[in-house]
Amino acid sequence: MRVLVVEDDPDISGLVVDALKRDGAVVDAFAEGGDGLHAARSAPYDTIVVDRRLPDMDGVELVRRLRAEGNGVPILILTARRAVADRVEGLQAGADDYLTKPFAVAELKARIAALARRPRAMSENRLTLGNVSYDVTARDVRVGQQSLPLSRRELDLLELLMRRARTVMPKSAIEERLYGLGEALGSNTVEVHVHNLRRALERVGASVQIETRRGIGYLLTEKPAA
Amino acid sequence: MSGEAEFERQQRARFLARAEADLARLRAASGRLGADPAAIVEIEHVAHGLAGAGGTFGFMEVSEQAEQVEILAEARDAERLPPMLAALDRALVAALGSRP
Repeated sequence: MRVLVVEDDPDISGLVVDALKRDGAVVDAFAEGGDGLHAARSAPYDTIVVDRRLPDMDGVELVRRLRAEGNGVPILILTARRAVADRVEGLQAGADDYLTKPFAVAELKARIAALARRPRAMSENRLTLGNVSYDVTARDVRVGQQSLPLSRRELDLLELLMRRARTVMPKSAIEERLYGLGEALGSNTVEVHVHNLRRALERVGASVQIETRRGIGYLLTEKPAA
Repeated sequence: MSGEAEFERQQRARFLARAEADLARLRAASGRLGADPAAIVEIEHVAHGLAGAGGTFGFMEVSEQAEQVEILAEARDAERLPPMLAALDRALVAALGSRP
């Protein structure tokens, strides 16, 4: 697990870093929000711990900027005990959890572990792979700059494959996700949607492809460079 | 001493070194209250740090007293600060007294 800690109190930062490292985590720590923002943009973290009050930037602003950029990494915000408004504002800005100071390190570690266990992409609203991006909220798929209209089922299928990119999705899992209980579906329904989505992506020059693992399922990957 | 106990000892020692320095800063700033407008700002800053860190390192009384000081300092209420500062001073002295 890789964790980014953005906290200007050197003792609290040191405690958190030491405690996480003892548990085997890789930890990067910064005292300033600008440095933390740069790190969050540069490296893949499983969780970010950010203090509300930073010398150069409000911790909530850091959260807001990352979310605006489509960064869905789980974020835990540290706030003062009496600052209820801070917690609300932090969560509204896109933080996934908060902890008030003072805190027990054991609780912080447990919360970080819980955040890291969540399917990472569940919190992301903008999915990207290769030149394909999908704004889940707006239901808008773009390949490069070009909009790609898809049916509802195709959108659901694309979202599922993008959230688990490079991982084989069993056909049964796709069926469960795309269809409600009791909905009738033919034996080749998933194949039809995969076929249509594959064609649609190819037609607009997508740099991703849907691979078939015969008898198992499908996975979305980037095409090898020509 | 187990690894965990040694880790906790090291962390507490880390905080107590800071607590000693913060106590000196608070006492110096207290002496300037009323004469130097920057004094109450410094008190607020130090108290804010102690309010968050004290209990995290096992010194909850420090956090609780520091929080009261921070509230008054933030409100620039210099009149009501001295007794709160005295209580925080006592909590810090008690914490420092726990050093082996």
